[in-house]
Amino acid sequence: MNRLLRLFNSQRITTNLIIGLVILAIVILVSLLGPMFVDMELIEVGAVAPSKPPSAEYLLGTDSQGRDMLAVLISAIPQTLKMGLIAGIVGVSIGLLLGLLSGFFGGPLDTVIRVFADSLMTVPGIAILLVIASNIESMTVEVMGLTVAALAWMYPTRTIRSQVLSIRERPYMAVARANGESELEVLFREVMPNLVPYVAASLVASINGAILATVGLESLGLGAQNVHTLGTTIYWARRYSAVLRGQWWWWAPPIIVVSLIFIGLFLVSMGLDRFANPALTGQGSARTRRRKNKAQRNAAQLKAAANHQTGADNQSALLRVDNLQVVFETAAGSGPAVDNVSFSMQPGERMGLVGESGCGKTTMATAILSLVRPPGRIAGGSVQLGDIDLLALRDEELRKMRLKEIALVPQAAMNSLNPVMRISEQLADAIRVHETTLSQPEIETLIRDSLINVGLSPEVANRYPHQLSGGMKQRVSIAIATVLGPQLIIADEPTSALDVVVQQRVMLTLGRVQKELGAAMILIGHDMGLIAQFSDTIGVLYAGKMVERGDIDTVLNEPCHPYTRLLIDSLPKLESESEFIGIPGLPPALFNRPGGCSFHPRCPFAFERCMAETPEPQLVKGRQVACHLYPDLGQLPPIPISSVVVAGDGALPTGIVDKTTTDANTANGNTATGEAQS
Amino acid sequence: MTELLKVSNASKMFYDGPIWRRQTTVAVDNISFSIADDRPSITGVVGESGSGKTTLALLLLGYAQPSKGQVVYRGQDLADMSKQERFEFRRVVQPIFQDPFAAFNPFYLVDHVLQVPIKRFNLASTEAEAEELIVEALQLVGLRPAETLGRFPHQLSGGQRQRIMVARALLCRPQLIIADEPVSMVDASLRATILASLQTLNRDLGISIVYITHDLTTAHQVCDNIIVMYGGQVVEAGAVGRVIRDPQHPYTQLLVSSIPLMDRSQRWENQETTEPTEQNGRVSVGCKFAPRCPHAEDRCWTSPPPLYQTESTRAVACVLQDNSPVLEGHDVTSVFL
Repeated sequence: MNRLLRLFNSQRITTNLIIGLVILAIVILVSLLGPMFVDMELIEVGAVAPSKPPSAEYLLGTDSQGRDMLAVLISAIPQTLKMGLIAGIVGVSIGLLLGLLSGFFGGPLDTVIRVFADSLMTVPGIAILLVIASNIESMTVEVMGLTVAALAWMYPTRTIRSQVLSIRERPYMAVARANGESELEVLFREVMPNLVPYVAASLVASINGAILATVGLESLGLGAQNVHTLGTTIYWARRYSAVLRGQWWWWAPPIIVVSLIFIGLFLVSMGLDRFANPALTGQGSARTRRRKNKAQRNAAQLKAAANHQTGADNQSALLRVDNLQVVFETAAGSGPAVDNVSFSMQPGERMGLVGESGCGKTTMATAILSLVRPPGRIAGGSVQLGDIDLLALRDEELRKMRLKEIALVPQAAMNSLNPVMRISEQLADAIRVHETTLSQPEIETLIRDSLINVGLSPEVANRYPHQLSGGMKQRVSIAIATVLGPQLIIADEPTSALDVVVQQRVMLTLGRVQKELGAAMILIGHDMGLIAQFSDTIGVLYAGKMVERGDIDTVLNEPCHPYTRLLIDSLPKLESESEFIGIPGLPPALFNRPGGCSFHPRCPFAFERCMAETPEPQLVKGRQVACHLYPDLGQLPPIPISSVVVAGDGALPTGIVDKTTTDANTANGNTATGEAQS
Repeated sequence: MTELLKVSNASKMFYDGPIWRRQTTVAVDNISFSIADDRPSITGVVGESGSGKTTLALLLLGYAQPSKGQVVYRGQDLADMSKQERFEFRRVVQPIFQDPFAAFNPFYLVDHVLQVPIKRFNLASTEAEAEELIVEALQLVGLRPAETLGRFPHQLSGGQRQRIMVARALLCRPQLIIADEPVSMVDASLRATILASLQTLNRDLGISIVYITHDLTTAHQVCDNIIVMYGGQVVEAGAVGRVIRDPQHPYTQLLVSSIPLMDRSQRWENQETTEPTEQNGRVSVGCKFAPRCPHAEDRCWTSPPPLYQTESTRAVACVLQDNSPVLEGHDVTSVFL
């Protein structure tokens, strides 16, 4: 029982669901309780004075046939609802059953069901409905509902089948089997609940469709003759020219009720979607955020212009990032993904940017490219490439800068290439946007050279992405990124999806091309080994802040920030079979950063000051470090073993339990949001 | 030595295309090894994608049937088990999957995956007892029940989710866990926590583990023995320290030299890396690595090299080692520690 209650965990209930249910409840209550307050005899023709507008006596007025409209409406609502429910429930039940069988078991059964359903879908339903309706002598709402169901069950069948096909391949099906569940249990316990949003949407669509179709038929006079429905009410209103006579109280109420039912069902289906998929989070309106974004950017530009005049000293730097701040704002909260970060890079420099997921590495890259999307926005600071202030550029100017001056090698090359375009077309597109004066042969030469340059055969130009291996695709991305000779290359975990051998080759190629171009490169990653192999300098990000920044050898040989030290130690070493250690706990969620130094809950050396005061970057042993241990501390002492997770020595220290999980991740899904932004 | 699970000369073929132009892919090619019943072990299986390591996992779990050879659980061929025997096998040999998010049904709280096995396998007689088992399992993998139970999967980190999966496997009281790339989708800083829980299960509870990975450094860290696969074949196998610190097969050497070491004195860019001499289009019916091998000879292309036992704890399938004796019975378990 309490398990059932937990299903109704408050996070599953949304405003949409509540409002929808309230609207439907009101409509139903009116039709159920109405007869207690209204004299239902008044629906007979001539029961009251005809054609009276709404008054205290007849709240919705009377029609030209002398009927009380309120009484008519109250008797019509349940009939229409009944018809809609019969059509919806029967149609969707058939659809659910056939869709489940078809999708889950597949094979010949699937073929038969699909052929049958698809061929029925080619038959025009409304036409058949018209024929049936005009030929049945005594049409009742029940017959009407069943007829609609018989003509509409194929649509839910199709929806459900395609969903089952996708769900049955998910890894949690295998986990359920490993847990000892039988096939039927897998079907009912694992597959079915995930169909709730689709069943709900189908049900709502079917009920709505049925009500609208029959209201349409009835308003042509082809409906149930023995009772009032919302449709027949509209029919009579039309028949007796209520619109022409200005008797709005006759035709408007049934239309409003139909609309209310529609809106109520729609909101409930949206709410059920969230109910069945608790991972969906509230997103607010995109437009207001965009407007805000623009306003903030203008403010940031003013500030950056002011900075520009003071910061003319560091002339040789290629890239200068000053007090960059990127804020994410969602319904769940807001927080800085990049928090007041400043650094500069020299031409040709390779900078490794490291940190765990959710520490702001990717957000930083997108901010440098001015590609931050809502719910994120650049809230302050400046990014200068040479003497151009990137954040002050208009969109069109920015677009021209990208690829030509700053290029991105994306994380998943397989997804960043267009699957329906040949490699040559994708390269040509990229070139043409920026180099409008080049002739076709010149472009072809450029494509050829760029492919050879990244170690691919020129024939690759004629292929489609699916004909290439993962490593080849990533080489193509490098070719696209470097074809126009950018000054800065940002490589966001460029090899994370590749095998080790391929990773090495791709990285060597990227390194060579970058060197030949003389471009600077930001290499983002969480593998310290790869960063050590390829960087000249390193920047360590934690919770959006740059906690250590300096020459790679200096930092690796003697990391000053405890986080850098723990990151290095968390990588297993080949040379010794000694233990490698994990960092206990998790990076804090974006919307719930601890005060003082964000790292203090996980830091083995934290003391009172760390909880109260945010450390500013200071120069320690030739690099920037943001840590309160300095300048007092001469050397970082060994990490106390009890505070970390050790693998390799068998016995687990007591410190293995995540210490910070509770305060870092409150129960409102912040972790997922934080991770998604990295 | 009694065997818990024994793979003998197992091959798995996949077929593609119409019958008259059928293409055969050999995912697992004549592999023999076993997991001891009396001595808990951690066996690593490494190789790149397409090397057949995941197919091997499916064979071990009984999710796929070998096309040739057999997989035997305590003397009983998986192919002719009764329903009851299969149910028991399902409990004793437990999987851990790669993606710690997709392994959870998003509809349920994480409690669901922990409650189901207790119910299905009748592991507890009362609710309270079940609760106790869950708490105990979570603590064993280093999680605090109060911070994990009653949450949805998306509210936990990748590391926590994967450790819940370890706890789930543990609840079934297994004797063997097949972990297929259990840490490859988790941040480097959190990998140690998951591997540490696997090691606890092995050392304290006597559960054997087959650790499938493409990451040689973690394999080196946690495994006793290792099997290196390429193109569905075993190319090298033996004690993990020997194989990784002093690789003999050209493919193992390539793998080891591709590890991004943090040691700045061993930077790739300062080393001679021989680009593989890709022999375009030529298919090897012998050693699958021949097209990429700098030492390939004519005989490599025509017949697969046998496993040579180069020392007491290592076997290598390479003609360069043909002065060593051929490994009896092709079963690499005989060179395991």
